[in-house]
Amino acid sequence: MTLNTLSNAHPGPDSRPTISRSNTWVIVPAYNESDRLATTLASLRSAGVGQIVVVDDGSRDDTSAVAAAFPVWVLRHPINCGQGAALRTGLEFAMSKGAECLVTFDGDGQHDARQIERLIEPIRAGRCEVVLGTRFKGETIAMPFQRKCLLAAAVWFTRMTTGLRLTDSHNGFRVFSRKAAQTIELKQPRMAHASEILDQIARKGLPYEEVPVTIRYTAATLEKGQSTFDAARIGGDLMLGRFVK
Amino acid sequence: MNLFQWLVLPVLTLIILLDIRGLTHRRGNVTLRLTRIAAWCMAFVLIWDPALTSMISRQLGIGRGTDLVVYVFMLFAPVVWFRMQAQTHSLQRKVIELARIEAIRSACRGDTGEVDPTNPHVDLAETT
Repeated sequence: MTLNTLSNAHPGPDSRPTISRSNTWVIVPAYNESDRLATTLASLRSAGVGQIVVVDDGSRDDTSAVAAAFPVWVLRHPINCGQGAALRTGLEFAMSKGAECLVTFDGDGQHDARQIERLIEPIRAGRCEVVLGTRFKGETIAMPFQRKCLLAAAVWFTRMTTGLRLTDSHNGFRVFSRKAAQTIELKQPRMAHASEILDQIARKGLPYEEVPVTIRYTAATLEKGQSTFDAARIGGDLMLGRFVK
Repeated sequence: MNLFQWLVLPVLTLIILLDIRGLTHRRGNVTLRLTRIAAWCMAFVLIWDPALTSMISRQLGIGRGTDLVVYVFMLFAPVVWFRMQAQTHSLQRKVIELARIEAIRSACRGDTGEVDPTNPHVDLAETT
């Protein structure tokens, strides 16, 4: 498979276990996603994903019940903790079950499950420890101009603060090797976790690659997405997070 | 003494005594308590003798005593705000950790209702 990847470094000889269907886990954080989750899980199943864990982040709707209709692991936060917290819960659970490759995948149907195999490939080949999806080298469907500007600002901010020359900094479609998932300490419970992950990739020198992905925007996903105010809040959370042990 | 002083100074005295009592009984954070006692004592002195504020502000070249109070407030308010935010964050993390433990403890398979057999905290009899 030819990959249009953008990489920063190649690790040395790798002794990691073989990445197989059974030890690849997809973590789906979901909050009030009962309308969209079934489609997302069905697409993951049809893409041949072996292990799926849905983390219901204290939804007020039937998200857990929808997930429970599928052959997936369902975890439920008793209260809404935030996407970062949900991801960490899913990552910890998957690692406790022996996951060697961990995919983070949005529950709202923005991502294309058929692209998972393509994202896993660099880790399977031992070229890197983290794979980051990039919509700006891939395809975006119905992305509003305002969102594009906000994401461009986030990319610039990431370059300034971490030195990582990424093309997309807030894409929830990522893959971690077990080593990377153990190395990255997710402390930010809400949306600032995306910046925190990149910050740790830079500080801990984790080799990464960017792989083009498709992001599909709909009215519902845009309603739940990030606003300019949220961007300011993320900046505040990141700053505060550096001082809180 | 004016009415304001009659109303506020006894309350401040009581607060200072309570804080000193807490300090001698080694309750809570000692640094925080000492800082609080210092702040109450400063408030007590400045309310007791309002002319002192004007004198200090003249020495500092600020002018009015009221301006000095405003400036001091402007300096301390962000520190207090930041400290409160940090405490809220710290508390939030603990709550989230509890939520995480509970979520992992009660993990189950969607289609079968199977619980995590490797989880020592799950009471299988309770969940089946």
